[in-house]
Amino acid sequence: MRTFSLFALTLALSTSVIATQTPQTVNQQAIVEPGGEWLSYGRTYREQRFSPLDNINRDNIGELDLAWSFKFDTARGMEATPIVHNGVIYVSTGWSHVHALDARTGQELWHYDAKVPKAQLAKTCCGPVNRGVAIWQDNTNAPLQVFFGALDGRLIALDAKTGEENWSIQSTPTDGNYSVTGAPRIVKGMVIVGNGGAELGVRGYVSAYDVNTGEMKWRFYTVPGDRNKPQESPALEAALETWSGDEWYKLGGGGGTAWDSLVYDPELDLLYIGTGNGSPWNRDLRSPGGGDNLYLSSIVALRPDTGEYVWHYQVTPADNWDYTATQQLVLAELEINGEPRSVIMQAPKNGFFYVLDRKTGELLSAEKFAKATWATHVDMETGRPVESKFADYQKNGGSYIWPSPYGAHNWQPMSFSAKTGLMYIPAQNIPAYFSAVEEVMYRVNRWNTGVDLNTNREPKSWVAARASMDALIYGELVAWDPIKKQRVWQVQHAKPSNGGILSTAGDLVFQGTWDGTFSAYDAYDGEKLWQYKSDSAVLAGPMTFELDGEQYVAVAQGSGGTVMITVGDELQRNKTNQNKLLVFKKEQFNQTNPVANEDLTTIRALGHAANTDPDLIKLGESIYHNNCASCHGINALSNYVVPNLRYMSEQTHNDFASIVIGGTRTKE
Amino acid sequence: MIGFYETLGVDDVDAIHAYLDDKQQNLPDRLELTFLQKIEYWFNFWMAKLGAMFPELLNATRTFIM
Repeated sequence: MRTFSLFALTLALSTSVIATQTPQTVNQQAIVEPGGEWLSYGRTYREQRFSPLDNINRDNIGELDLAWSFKFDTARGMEATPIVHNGVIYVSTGWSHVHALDARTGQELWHYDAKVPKAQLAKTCCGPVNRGVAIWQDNTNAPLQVFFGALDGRLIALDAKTGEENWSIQSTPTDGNYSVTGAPRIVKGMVIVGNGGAELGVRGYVSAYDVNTGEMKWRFYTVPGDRNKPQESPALEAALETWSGDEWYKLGGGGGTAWDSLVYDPELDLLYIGTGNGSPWNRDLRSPGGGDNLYLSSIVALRPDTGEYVWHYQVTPADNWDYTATQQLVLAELEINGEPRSVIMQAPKNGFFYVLDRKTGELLSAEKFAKATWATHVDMETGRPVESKFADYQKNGGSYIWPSPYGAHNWQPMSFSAKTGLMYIPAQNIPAYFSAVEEVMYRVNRWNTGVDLNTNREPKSWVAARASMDALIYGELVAWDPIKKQRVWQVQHAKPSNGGILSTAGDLVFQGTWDGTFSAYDAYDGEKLWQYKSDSAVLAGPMTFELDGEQYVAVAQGSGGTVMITVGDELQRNKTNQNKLLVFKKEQFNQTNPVANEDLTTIRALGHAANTDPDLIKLGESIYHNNCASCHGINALSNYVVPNLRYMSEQTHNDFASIVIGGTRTKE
Repeated sequence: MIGFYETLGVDDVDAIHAYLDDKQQNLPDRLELTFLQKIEYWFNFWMAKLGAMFPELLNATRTFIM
């Protein structure tokens, strides 16, 4: 579909004029208009991931080639979007490393290692990943700083020239099960950072810190605290009315962690945060008397100077399925029913695409962008979803439900093209069988979901299992029209867990996939125009920048994230997972193109007979799936990023108890 | 390399890879389905497709799938 509004065209032209201007000082104005640079996680405060650069376009995309790559010294998931300023790329990796690279050559300028203790891994749901850094100069004479959140909750400011630490503060309690994986955002001289950890029982919050000193300016808790004590704000007093009992607090805090999306609107002076799932997932355990449980799974608008609540919209009231609303928030101006509206858009895990008026929080539309059976529709009169008969698995005894806790859309960022007016969503279709745990038991420092995670256990027939997975589970690149509330085109991927999106004024949409392919599609019809085959999954959000009059496209490659970890055997492409930064431009470089060893993707461990009590095996299966599978893979079929327990050495077998119970490997 | 190597020594990793490579060489026909398995595969494939439209069907056949 090649029609687009005059409004979008005007916006596109106005952005292309500034494309070649390079900001000298990285401040608020620069992030609003970064020209040919990429200065914040989603490029600008609007987080559209749309670039006005069009030097690389549909007509010449075939000339794009790998200019250089940089191999990182890590093998965990790569989720970061690089930042580019003044010819330098700043990019973070798993285990909280930050690299500064020469954008022309890939030469490393400096490298910072936060030296996160390996035991921190037990506090994460989805690997020791990091989605990126932020940069900022407080004024023209101030030094440029690089900010990032370390996995163990430290917020760290680095000197951008040397990589030396300027300051470091602990943004989370060290005795809690918090982690930080999201990219910070810089707003009005403050570093805004959230955190994760809801599966292990924490109380979510977002904090703001002074860019120069690290002094905390404010903190907004996303869920109420102990109901027997005063709440921190009137907004939490109001939220308390939507919770029953006090189990949520006793079980660790209720969740609602804002682990990814933080978006600032300079015009309205509002900060929007996306909040996470309930803790435990099972709402009957979390809030036994019912209630919506504010502000779980919500979009919340705050005053950035104080953290004061302004409005909220809860995308999944009474979350019961790990349906976070942490997914990317995107700001845009749309013409809806002939009226210009300032909107905020989100495609959260629950499978509905939401358009809200970002001044007031008014719901403008909510339609399914992927398969979702937990709700039939969203009632536009009430703004609430209408749950289906499958949704309440506690009452119906268990059911397959779309989407699974992996979400119809997860952390991989989507992109809104100001030129086509379309949102490009990295969607996935995965059902999950939800059933409540039969025996409720709170386990300290463990996952406490209240959902039986052993339901994906070894099926009776592997042929039937294979067939059903092939039939039901797949990924998609969806081009969504947020005004018409419908798909315009889609590209189906064989597997879920594909990469984030970049759209450009060159009428191109870039996306990586689980199998290591990095592709460019026609933004109007989804036709594949170009591809590069790498040697590991390409999942992170791509970005583009202009340097010396040339346009570059960059993306981090490397397998990781919860889907790749837990169903890794299905998705693995390379036995050691090469984490790299790939940087492309128009020219033929003729570099060796290492492609993943596809033969290895079909390997399975050989079974062997064991004279073990079947009931004991059953118990072990349940213990494994409720404690180990989130890292080592469902049915002990792991991605090679994490040790494959089916191939443990004799020594590891001998040391098994001391490793699992004694933690002897945590110091290595 | 941090990550894979953090819990296993480099020698262990090399040994595992050599083991896997060897196994791969010796498993040329492992994905070849028998005639009956092919019938089972396609029956369940289309049953699952139907189940996507009628989740009750998926619930009823749960012990065989995923």
